[in-house]
Amino acid sequence: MSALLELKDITIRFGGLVAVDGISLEVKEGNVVALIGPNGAGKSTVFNVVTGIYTPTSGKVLFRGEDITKLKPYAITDRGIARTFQNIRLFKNLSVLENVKIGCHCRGRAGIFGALCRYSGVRGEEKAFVDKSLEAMGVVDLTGKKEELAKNLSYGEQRRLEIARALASEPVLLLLDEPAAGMNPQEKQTLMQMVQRISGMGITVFLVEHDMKFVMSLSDRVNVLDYGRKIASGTPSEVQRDTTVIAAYLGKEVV
Amino acid sequence: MEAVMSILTNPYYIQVVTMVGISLIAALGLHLITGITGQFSFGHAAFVSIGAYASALVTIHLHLPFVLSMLAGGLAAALCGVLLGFPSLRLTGDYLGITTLGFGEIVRVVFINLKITGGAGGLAGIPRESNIFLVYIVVVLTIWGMYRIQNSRFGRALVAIREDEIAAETMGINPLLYKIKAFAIGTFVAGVSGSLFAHMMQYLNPSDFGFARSFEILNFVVLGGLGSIPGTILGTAILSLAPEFLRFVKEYRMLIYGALMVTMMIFRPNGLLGGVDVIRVLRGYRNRREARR
Amino acid sequence: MFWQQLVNGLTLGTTYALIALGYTMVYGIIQLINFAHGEVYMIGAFVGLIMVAVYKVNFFVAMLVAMGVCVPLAVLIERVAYRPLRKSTRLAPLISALGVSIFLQTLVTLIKGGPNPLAFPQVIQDTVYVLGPVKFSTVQCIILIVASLLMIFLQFTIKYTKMGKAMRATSEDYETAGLMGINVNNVVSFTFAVGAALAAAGGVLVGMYFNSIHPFMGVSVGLKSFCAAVLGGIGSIPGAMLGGIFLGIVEVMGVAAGFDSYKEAIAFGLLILVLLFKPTGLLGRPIQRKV
Repeated sequence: MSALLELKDITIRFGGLVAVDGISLEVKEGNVVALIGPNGAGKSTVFNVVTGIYTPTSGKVLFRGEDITKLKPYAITDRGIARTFQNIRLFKNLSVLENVKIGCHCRGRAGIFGALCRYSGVRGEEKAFVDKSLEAMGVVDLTGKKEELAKNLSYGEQRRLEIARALASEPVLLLLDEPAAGMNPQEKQTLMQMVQRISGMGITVFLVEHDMKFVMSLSDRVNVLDYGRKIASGTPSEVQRDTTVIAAYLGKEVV
Repeated sequence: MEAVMSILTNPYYIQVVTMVGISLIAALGLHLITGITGQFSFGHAAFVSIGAYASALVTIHLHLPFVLSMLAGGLAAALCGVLLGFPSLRLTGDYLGITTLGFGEIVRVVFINLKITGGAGGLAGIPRESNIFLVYIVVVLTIWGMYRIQNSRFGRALVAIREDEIAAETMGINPLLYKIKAFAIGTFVAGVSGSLFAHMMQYLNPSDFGFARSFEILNFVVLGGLGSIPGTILGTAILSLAPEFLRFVKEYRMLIYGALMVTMMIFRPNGLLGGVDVIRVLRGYRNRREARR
Repeated sequence: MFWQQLVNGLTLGTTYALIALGYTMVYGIIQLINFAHGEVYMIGAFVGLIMVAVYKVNFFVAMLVAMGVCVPLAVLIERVAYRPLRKSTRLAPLISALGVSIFLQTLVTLIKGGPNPLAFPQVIQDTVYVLGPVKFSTVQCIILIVASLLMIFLQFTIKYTKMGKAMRATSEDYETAGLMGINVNNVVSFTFAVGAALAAAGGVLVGMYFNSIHPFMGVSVGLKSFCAAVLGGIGSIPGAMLGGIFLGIVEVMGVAAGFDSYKEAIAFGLLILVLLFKPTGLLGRPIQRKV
């Protein structure tokens, strides 16, 4: 299997602060890959670099062999990378269905003229959007809530809605930024099944998560960051045995 | 009956009602920019004036049929909207607001200094081509268009930008492009409103399109309920008619108008129809009625 | 000629700066464009005129009285028209501010009995001092000195007093300042008070400088001062001073260069130009994209 996403020596500085320091990593097609590390290790920054919200100070991001380092976020989504956010960013005043339909945006074509004339192609596209949205909502069990406003959903449901919205853009690679944060054990269990379902659909999953049980049971590979550097990577069991990782998490004295 | 007829045919009332329609068209343009896309524009009257002057000049000098000069007015305004939008729509919130306000003032000063527009003395001799029927045909068309836009892929992208620009961008929406498109449509509509105004009043003066007028249009959109078409209609109707109804208080009129703005905002900070989805309410009413049967 | 225009521009600019400070401080703390600020300045000018013309008091006393009237007025405006809207959408307090602005303009017009301008009595013996190529009038000297003193005083208040520290904390993070035990409502009231005092002083100074005041004088000067605040970087106090002076000089130079009929547009043209290259103004902090 070839690498779907490849980060090559990514460094990003904010003023004097080096948030990410020379990170290289690979995400192979079809895998579930995790990025873990203590708070402030630079995990979300890596996600922001991949999705084009930040441009790295140096280094390259390759997606399916194409250099996407300097592309804008919308162009990156268009190429098949979708994401969720650590601090939920839904369109709060819109219904669940509308949120997911916006996710379909980059797979549609209708413009202003289409909006005004609503010729048959546009109507067909709208219908396809609704079908696809309902399908995406089905993956995360939100079909029953389609008319609910996003802001009225529970926290766990909002996290799932973010996933549905991302799925609606028909991604090849799905980035989940702390998907289980703030969920109770039962919700985490369901979420785990959902991620497996998504992976089973042939979508590569790249996730940041703090919950080790969640990460270790889901992932094919785990990358560990500490202070902006990659300190380890491998299968979950390899990483769990790695002394530098244990030191980073528990402090040096323990080792 | 006769009394009703005399009111209906009273030219003054007809004029007032026509002006409400013209204001409403302009307000609907701003509704798309501010209410739907969430971009502040404090210079909307400038686009109305560009449309007004452009169409008036086209009519006077080229003798084109009114529909064409109306289109010309709209296109001229939209062109300026895009030219302003390209650099300035990168700015956010109040910075965009103040930039559009500044643009509005610059346009006004330019019209005062231009010879072809009659300068500070104004532009007279515009043929009277618009009337209440034409105005309300355009009103209906604009409302229809706005509804269609709101319920489309294009409109959803605009709303997404209003709700969360970064999230919208990661959904594959190019925010700058869509904001410019919204600006183009909104200013086009403003320009059309201006051309109807020009061919109604038959006289244009730059001082009618200062920032006070821009804020008045903003008021229409906000007081009725930002982001809601029924709200925009209601806001425009109430605020355009208020000065007429307040005529009896004579010189205290603007005093009450100002106080009214403050009180209305304090009691309904989201506007009169803010947070009320009129279509949902109506649908709910119909459902309840059917359930009772 | 150039030096003379520079001095004239500096004089005009310091009055813009005085008013811009009120905009920038209020914006820094509650992110509101206080459109009624221009009206506070206008009322300051009128109170000053009444004191000088009717009660024949000394010019400086008149200025103090104008401040004494405008401070409670501004605090009252905030209490009535803005505070109930602090948690609502961005446009609601803005509309409310415009309402206050229309209300005050009409009120003053009614009290005065018409919108036409009044002449400000000549209270200061106007002598002209010559310094090399430049002529200073007494009025110009007073404006420059008074404005400088006020600004130094303001800097001192903000840097070294407890209230000033509270103001800086609140403008940094409104919510957290409240959680740290700062009475945010008092800070906001104080900010409005300081802004109003400066605007009132500005009103009296400008009235004296241009010899003419009218109920709508706050509109154009208010807008331009707001421009100055944005130009310098809204929320930044040195920015407002710099923006005001810069704007005053450019405007005077522009008029001297023959763009007389475009005078009202110079401020806005300058603003748009600066924002396109420096989107948060000359001294503004760059916006970080937070994800």
